[in-house]
Amino acid sequence: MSILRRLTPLGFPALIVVLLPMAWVLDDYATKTLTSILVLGLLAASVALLTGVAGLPTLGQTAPYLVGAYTAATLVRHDVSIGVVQLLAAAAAGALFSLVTAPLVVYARGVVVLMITLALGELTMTVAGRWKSVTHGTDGLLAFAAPAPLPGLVTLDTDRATYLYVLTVVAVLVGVMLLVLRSPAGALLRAARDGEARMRASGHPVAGYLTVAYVAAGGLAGAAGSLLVTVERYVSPGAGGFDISALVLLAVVIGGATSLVGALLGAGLVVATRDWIASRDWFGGSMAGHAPLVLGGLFILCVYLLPRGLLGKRTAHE
Amino acid sequence: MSDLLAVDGLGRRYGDLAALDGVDLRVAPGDRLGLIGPNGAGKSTLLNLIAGSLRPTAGRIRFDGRDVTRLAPARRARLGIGRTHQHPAVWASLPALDNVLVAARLPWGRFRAGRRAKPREHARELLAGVGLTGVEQTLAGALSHGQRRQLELAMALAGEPRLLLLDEPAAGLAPPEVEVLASLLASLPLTVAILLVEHHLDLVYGFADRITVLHSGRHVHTGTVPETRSSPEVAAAYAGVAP
Repeated sequence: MSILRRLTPLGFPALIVVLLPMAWVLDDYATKTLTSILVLGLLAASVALLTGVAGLPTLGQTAPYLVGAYTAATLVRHDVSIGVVQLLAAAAAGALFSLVTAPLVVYARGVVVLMITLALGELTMTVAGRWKSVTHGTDGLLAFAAPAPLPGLVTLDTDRATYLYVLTVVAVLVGVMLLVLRSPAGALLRAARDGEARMRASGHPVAGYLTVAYVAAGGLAGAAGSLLVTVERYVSPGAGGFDISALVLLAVVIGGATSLVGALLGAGLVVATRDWIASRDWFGGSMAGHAPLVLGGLFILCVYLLPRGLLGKRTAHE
Repeated sequence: MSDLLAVDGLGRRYGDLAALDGVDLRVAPGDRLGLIGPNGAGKSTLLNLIAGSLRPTAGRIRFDGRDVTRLAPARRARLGIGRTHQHPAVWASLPALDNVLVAARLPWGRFRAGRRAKPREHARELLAGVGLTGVEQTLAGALSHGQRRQLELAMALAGEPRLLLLDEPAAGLAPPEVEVLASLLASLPLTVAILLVEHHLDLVYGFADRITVLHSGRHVHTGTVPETRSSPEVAAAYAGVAP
């Protein structure tokens, strides 16, 4: 994996360059699947930021994801048709949700974080199912009007246009996060993950740094929620269920938890496995309907063959 | 001279067990104080209480005239209490030089510039000062145990402490490394007061101006090196556990 890692700084622009022409290469179904992968990939990147970089393993990023999705859907229903406005509002809502819940998360460590974030995710999904006046309960919210990315641009009526919009947003957001992580901010987060006691002994406010990371990850997840609504024109509580949390964490583990680009690739692998291999009649149709089984097998293979994931950094203890 | 650190009646209990019981301690600016005692004497407990990673169940700690008894460890570090750990704590996935830069707690702008300019040079000097050269870009996790000790010392110094707490810096070092450590400790600037917790008595005797002896969580003796060497209480304390 060392060659892959050495190419990491170039990997992300290269990935975008490869993905861009796919809009004209793939058929509608594949384009739509790839768009969904990018949306989940952005959610996975927010999970990787917390799990791999900041050392807070999370099963709860579906919570700000749902908050963002409902925010965007509500805006669409109130005739706010500018994509970027929906996106920023959803990101802000996701970040605000994370700011409010941060005290529950940033003082805990390890499996306790996993349990707290799991509870936050489940609670948010339950609220989305019960708060009918806002969310329409389990019926979900239809948000049918296609947005225009910016004022004056065409509306996203085709799968290709939607794909290009989602790709642009993911490229910008993940690109910015990568730059931030290459700055001192990245060094501070990694240091907090590596040795918290030493951080305190050096006078660094660890909980403060983790709060910033958690809020930023909430913003990313909220933005992913807005993209979900742009793609699906609909959101229901199930969009943020435990199966999605688990799927995304799986994508992060497979991609290499310390790498945001790895999270995108992992999301691609996981969704492709779920939606293509296990739903088409490959292998004589014997795999059809067995997506969880195939995903489980994939996970076990990855843990044994790639313990650090596709793009994960070698930790110094190895 | 006014005290830099003043510890009064400090105690830490775990249920019925008193790890530390009513200990007083004074450290003046630039002091070299050795803290010795048999295993379980409460040396590390005392050090952790001063650094703030443990909370006392009794007593008071003042640093530079300010009551810090309830302050979090990070706040105390920012006031000027630096430390190293018994098991050297470094950030394994960062290069050695970045370990020092992060530990220096630079303002954001200077840190960014630091990748090229002055702070980087300063970090290099700190690394060289503790005897680490040629490993600036090595990930800290790939350093040897002894090198990690040196690195953590450089990190502690990068924070520009006025009081430095050293928790058994010779533990796990080979005899030649202990000699290097001894000359390194002797070279530390007198602007830093040092509290040295150590089992390696020769190292402490060679380094400290004064020595405090703890036994079973209690203060037994404080005096100069010759006084300590000839103190019957100290002999009894050690004899009590190691006949």
